Amino acid sequence: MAHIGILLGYDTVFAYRLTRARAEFLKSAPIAQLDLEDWLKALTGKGVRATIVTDFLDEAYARSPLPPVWSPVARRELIERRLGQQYRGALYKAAIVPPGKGLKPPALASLFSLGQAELVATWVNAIENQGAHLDGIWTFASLAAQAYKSFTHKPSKKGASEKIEDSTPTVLHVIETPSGLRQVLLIDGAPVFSRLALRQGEVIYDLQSACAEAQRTAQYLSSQEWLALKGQALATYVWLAKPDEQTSIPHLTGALNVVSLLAQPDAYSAVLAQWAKLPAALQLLPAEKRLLWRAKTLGREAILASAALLFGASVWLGATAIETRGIQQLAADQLVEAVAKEKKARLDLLRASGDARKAALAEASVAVWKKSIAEQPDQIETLDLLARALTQVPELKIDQIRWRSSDAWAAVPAEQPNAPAPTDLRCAQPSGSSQEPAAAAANPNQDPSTGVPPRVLATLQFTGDVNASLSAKEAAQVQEKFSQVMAGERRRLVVSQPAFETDPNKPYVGILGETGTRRIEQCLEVLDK
Amino acid sequence: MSTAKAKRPTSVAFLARKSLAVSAGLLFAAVAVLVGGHYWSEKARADAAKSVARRAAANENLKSTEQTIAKLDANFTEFQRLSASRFIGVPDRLALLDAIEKSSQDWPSGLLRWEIQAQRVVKTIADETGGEPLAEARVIPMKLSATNIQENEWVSFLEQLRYQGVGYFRVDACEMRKTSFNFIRAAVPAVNASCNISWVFIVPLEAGEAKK
Repeated sequence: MAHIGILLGYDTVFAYRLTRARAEFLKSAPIAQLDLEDWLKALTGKGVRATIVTDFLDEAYARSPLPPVWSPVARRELIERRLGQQYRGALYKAAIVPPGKGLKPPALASLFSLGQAELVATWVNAIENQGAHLDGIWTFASLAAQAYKSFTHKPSKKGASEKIEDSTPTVLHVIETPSGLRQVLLIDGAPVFSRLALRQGEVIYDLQSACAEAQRTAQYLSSQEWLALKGQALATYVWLAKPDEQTSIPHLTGALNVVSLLAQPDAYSAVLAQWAKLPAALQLLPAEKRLLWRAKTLGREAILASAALLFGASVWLGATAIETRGIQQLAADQLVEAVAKEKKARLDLLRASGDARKAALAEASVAVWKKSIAEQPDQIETLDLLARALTQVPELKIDQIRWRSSDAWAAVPAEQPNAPAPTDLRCAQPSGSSQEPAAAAANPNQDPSTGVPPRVLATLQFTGDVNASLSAKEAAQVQEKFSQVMAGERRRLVVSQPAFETDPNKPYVGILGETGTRRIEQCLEVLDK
Repeated sequence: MSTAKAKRPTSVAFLARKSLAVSAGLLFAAVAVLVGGHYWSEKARADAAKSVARRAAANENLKSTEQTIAKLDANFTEFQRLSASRFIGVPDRLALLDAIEKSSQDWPSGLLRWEIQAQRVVKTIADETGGEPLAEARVIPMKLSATNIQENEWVSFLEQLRYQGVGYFRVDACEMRKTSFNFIRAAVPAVNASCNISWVFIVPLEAGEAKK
């Protein structure tokens, strides 16, 4: 929807195309000779928005100190009442209230009334007759105040050196416009007073002439108690169409301190670009139209915000759709891969076990071979061990060796697959021994995790003689040495008849000094673990 | 009274009702887009997670299958080796005797006594899945004995017999008893040895063939 800004100057009207951040000059015409309907027809039409900005000479400001009223509602009612009393019958009026300092309520209000109300009403009617929407009436001073805020709170595009720091609560903003020299007094950013010094002929303002005009305004403001400088110079911001660039800034002249001088060839354009940021309190529309304006503004902002949200959601949806399609594609690829692998696994298994009977036979045969042949106790290794022991203990002579293997075919109970197969293969315990269970329990080879004693795979039983000439002590040493050599992992030596009985639990007899035969009878158990 | 009734509402919200309705519609659409998009996205993620899990399961399954196939292959290879080395099938009695002879060829004639008994079934192997008999594990018991030999000769004899390639045997029991014999004028120490061994082998059964 097109938005037209119509700036009513002192004797000329200017038209601008407005966007949210720019104002583009369209055309201008002298007000006195203007055919209003024709002039507007080319600019406006049904659905077009039109904003009126005035840069009039006739503006009335009344200083109105406020009591400390904390309630915003009560304060607004007070100000409305004062405004009505001050400008009874005025069509376009507003109260300008600088914000309070800190937590204090505002202490001052500027009551404003726009002159040339008939002229403004004529334009309002003409715009509405064209079917356009009147989007507000503002003073140039209000826009200038907003422009001051914008320009002093952001660095200039020309460079950081031109950045203006705003720390002064009261400033004078002097702007050269086609109508003349507009001077706006800002207190805490609010345009509490404004004055237009009409341009005399084709005069072009320089800083000196602008400051001279501003000096007069400052004197007037001081006399009307708008200003209380107390010896301090008034911070002044000057926009001129063609300033003298040789002037050094800051420039102190009389009661003014020019802290900024900017070249602004089209001040109307620069200031009109601020329309979107103006506070509603500075709107000059009559009460009923203001309500309508507020409703339209609210509706427009709501639609814009919702549309922005919808746009953002759509963009997010687009991005999500791209990402989701990627994920779905990945999922589909992985599903295809999974199905292919499952199929391959099934086919491989079918192919491999094509003859299930043959496969089972192979597996069973290998298992039988391992159990009966590959895992049978190695008789030759055990005999080698015995031979090494006999070599190391020459006092011991063996005369009989017996080897017995366990039954490889004994069935293991199904409910105890880890239990050893039943077997009666075991070395004969020493005669009179009653500690077989205890010995089994104390067996160092017993598996601590299962508590199941190791299975005896084979026994190697041997009997022989120890050199009869050895003393009892020597015979005991021979026995001990032989036992040490034969001991080892997965083996257990059971001594049925030792060369010399050292067990204190067993009786032993002999004749001191007499040597006789010393028979031994021992047995080696080969264990499965 | 009638003036009050005719007075138009002056609420900003009422005046802006159409725009606010449009705004609410747009807002609803935006929320619907966000919620729908989120649901769609989450569903796609869940589907993707399922697909990833299924692919992982398929990978595991394939790996397991490959292991099973490798095990089957190993079993077949081992089975073929066992078949070649006479573990499958009934050993030839003549071949057994020939092997005994070859293993004791350095001994004087008549030193070694043998006794082959009848084969017997020690275990019937059934298919784990169907329970159908697949094969029988059988043994041929054999008694071997010799007198007046050195113990290392006996051990060497058993070892040579193991590598004759006529089958596999277990040593069930052995006994070596010290003895001596007169050689020229000296008594030479020797042993009388005897062993009970079992030749172990597998006899496959035909499908449907039960143990008689």
